[in-house]
Amino acid sequence: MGMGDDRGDRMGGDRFEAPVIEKIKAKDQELDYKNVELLRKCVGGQGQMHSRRRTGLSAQRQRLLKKAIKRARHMGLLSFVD
Amino acid sequence: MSRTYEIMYLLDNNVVRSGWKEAKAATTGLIEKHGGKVLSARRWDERALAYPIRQRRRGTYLLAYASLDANGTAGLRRELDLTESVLRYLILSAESVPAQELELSAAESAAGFVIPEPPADELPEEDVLEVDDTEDEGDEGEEAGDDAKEEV
Repeated sequence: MGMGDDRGDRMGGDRFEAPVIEKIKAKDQELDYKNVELLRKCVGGQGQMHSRRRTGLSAQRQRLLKKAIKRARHMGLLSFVD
Repeated sequence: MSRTYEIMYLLDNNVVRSGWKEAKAATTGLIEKHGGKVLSARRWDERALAYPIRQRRRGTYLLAYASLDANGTAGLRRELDLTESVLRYLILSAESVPAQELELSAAESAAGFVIPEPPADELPEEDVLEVDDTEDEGDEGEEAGDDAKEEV
């Protein structure tokens, strides 16, 4: 089985369709709990955090994102679950 | 040693409606009561909450920066927990007060600055649904009981 077959399988399935959100990485915005518009882009439809693969952030900045999202949830700015 | 803290409050809109200045003075007064000095305080936003907190669907956010003794936060937290008008709060240590905050805070303190009236909460439709849910659960329990009898 070659690489081509593998890729074909992936494109057919729903496992690898997640696109990287370039905006978060490129714009280098402050990951703060008050930046609700940005945080909304980093969570899924049901309010779960996106993985690093989807946010495109470094490990350090992903940890800041985690903190920011949790703070925003506590203050009622973001939902825990939709 | 005193530190600079960023303090965000979520205030009950019912309290805000009866006077923003009073509500603000009450919350900043708590900081001063615990040995702090308020550096800036302003209305950050009024918005719908992501989820209901104490049956409130909207709330007003107050963002304050204060220098406070490190030992003072514990007392402040305890008091905020007991304060009914504060739905939620968040105390973070901050490097310094952003210059923008000082400006916005000064602008709000200036005469002629009008704080818009908070809109009313939307009708609590979900509360009605919750009542229905509990009734359904009761029915289900009875049904389950009936089923069990039938099986016997």
